[in-house]
Amino acid sequence: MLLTRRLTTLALGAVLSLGAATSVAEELKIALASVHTGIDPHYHNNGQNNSSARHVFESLTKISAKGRLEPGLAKSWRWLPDGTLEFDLREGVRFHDGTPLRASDVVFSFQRILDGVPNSPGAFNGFLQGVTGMEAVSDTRLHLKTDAPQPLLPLNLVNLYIVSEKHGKGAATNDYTTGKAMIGTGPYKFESWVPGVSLVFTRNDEYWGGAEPWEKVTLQIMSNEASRLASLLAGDTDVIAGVPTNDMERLKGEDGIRLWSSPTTRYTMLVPGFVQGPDSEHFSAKDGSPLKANPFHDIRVRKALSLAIDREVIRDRVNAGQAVIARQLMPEGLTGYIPEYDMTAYDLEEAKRLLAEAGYPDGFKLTVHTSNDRIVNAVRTVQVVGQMWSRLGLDVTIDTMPHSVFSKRRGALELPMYLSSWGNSLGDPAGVLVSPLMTYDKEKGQGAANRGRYSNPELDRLALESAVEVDDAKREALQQQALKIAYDDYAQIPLVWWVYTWGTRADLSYEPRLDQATLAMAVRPAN
Amino acid sequence: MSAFLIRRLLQAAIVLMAMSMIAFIGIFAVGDPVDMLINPEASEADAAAARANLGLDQPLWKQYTTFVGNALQGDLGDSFVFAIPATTLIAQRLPATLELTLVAMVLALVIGFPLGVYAGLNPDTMAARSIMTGSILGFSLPSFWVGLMFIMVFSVILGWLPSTGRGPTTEVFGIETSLLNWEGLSHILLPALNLALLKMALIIRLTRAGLREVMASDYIKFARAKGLPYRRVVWVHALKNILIPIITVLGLELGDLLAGSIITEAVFAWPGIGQLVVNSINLLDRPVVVAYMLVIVALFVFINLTVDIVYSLIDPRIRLAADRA
Repeated sequence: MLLTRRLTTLALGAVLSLGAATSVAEELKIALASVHTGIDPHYHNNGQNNSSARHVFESLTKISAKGRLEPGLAKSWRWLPDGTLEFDLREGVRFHDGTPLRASDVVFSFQRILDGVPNSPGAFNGFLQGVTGMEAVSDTRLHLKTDAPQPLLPLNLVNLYIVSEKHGKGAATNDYTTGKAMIGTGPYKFESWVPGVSLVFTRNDEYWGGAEPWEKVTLQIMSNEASRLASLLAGDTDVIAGVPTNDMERLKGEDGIRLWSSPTTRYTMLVPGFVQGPDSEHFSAKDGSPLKANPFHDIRVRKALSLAIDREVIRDRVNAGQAVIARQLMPEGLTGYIPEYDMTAYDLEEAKRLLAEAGYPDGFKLTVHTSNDRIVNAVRTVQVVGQMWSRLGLDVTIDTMPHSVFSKRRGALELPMYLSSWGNSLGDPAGVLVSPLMTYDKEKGQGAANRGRYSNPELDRLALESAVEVDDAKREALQQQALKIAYDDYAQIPLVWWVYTWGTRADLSYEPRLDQATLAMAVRPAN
Repeated sequence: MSAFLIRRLLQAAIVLMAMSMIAFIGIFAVGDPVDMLINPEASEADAAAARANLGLDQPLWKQYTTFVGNALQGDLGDSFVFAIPATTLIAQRLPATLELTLVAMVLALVIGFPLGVYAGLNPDTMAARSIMTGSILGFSLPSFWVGLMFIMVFSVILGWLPSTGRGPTTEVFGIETSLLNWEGLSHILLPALNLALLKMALIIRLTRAGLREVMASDYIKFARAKGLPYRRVVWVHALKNILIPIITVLGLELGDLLAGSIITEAVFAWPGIGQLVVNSINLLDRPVVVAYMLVIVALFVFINLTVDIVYSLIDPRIRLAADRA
């Protein structure tokens, strides 16, 4: 094997040196797991689109690899006493066609977002909620007017990319797709896009932050994780996103590649349903007769179910060690994390006692649902959880289905216990409070992702108060109080934080990111 | 002949209509396309706006009639996911699949046919027996596994061939093809081989079985008794008579290959319509799924028609139904 390897390397070396041109101009090939649905940066708010947009476009504020808010095109910002957010733009920034960046370009971009892009399957205008007016005070100064305090506004601007007013005026999504309007300020220029196949950039030599080492970057879509891995091992790609967890051990021994991991703000959790009645077809007494009430109304049942899960097994066996136990719904190191608080103890005896005290000494029958094609290791996780709950005395059935079907049934509020994941992309506790935990209220836009229909008015009050609290420390304290209510209530049963892994050639390094973005700007030659 | 053609076209139109209805109702029954596309952190107002944008807030029958109205004018709708016309997406990806299909078919024929003929003419030799056993492997090994094995052996371990993707293309009469340069050919070899294995196995077995049957028949015995050279007996008399089942199967298999060779395209990241369609089904991208089904049905109809016409050319005893009068 070693001899073949050496011969192959020699042969490859000989072949490569014949094609000498490629080694001089550094080209980078990156393989991604999911598809871009559009390259117009205002068309579709979706993780993959947003991260790839950062090659060509930039926003006023950015999130660092560790999840902290940083200046982007805006070098500084401050709140004025009348509730206006004032931004000072960086000087010397030019678009790819040479025109300088002006505050009017920012106003144009935001207005385009507020007006909405036609046919958008997911718009960005929610991020500008609360903004009542915009003004370009000078070429480098911008005012965003609000009528109520919006402490999260700078964070919300992270995914709002600035396009050139000169090229963007009157341009529709199609002009971006053909490249005509794809003029940004980013470190790369747009070259070509074949939907679902590849996205190609070339270096912007005049980038204000310094030219990148890669002259050409090709983002290729390879959804099959085995082929993605094979292409890295064969040397056909230089960087791959999403290395499958099962292969990690084997890959650590390969000396042609290196692995880079980061914990993320995405966690897997079990969601108990509060809205299903005792006649639900997914739980019953062990003999099949209906229960007296929905068992998840009783906090002792929810707590017992959480206590019965040994999360170390889920981390080590199901995810091959590639996960971090989620002890709360905010990860350590970000605001909102409550030090020393752990809602994930493992105590089977206590769980049995609580379940008996709640009136289910013999347990009950339960069906647990999940989607099998969107969540890492979802099926294995529910199987393990099901077994753990069997030890508790429940009679568990697992039902898995494609995400399209799962999403529909979950949305119809049919499922009283399901496994899902939640990704808090901006890293602020509001991302965990507003949509998944607040009481569902369509008009107010709250609880959109709260499909268990958990409801606690005290949590709602605290969350709303924190939303308008401008002082950072006070806001964090309010958010922590609200979160603690959800934790004590076992509104959700968290399991693990996802760890995302990138693989690169041995002579490259990748700066792993909390937001899971795959960027050419994070790839550097390793010294 | 013309009555035959017209009847066929009418049948095709009915099948197309039925197909589009099935696709519409099917996707509607599975779930909500907007749910699949929208960022989970978005609000309900955003989801409702997206639904209105895509026309999904209309009742189903209204969506269908709008679709039919547009379809008759040649517009099969814009993809929900990419906002690009569905026909454009398919047209972009179709050449890649056509290429792969063509090369796979050629490989299957060029390798399978001679092997099958040899096995049919010399059935009791070691070589023939190994060919037949080999052909069993051809259709029992799952193509997913075989594809990954090819990549592991030829790309990762030996490093002879590239592992994934399509090679550089050159434009010929407005169509991009990767067959005209060595690098392109090296990219297409493994996926085409992967696809061809099953067809090869089929052709080998069909050819052998057909030859065994035909070589024992009276007219062959008579031809040999007459003193015709062996070559002529086999290539002119025997083979012509076994062609009909082979062409039928080839026609069906060609349609099957065109319908997307989904697994091979997924494993080799080949940018064809198979990958497009699986992605679209998972994301409930209805316009693309419907457009794809219509295109495939049209292709199948065309292939079957061609096969029928070729029959009548090969076998003078066969007359197309309408001619009988």
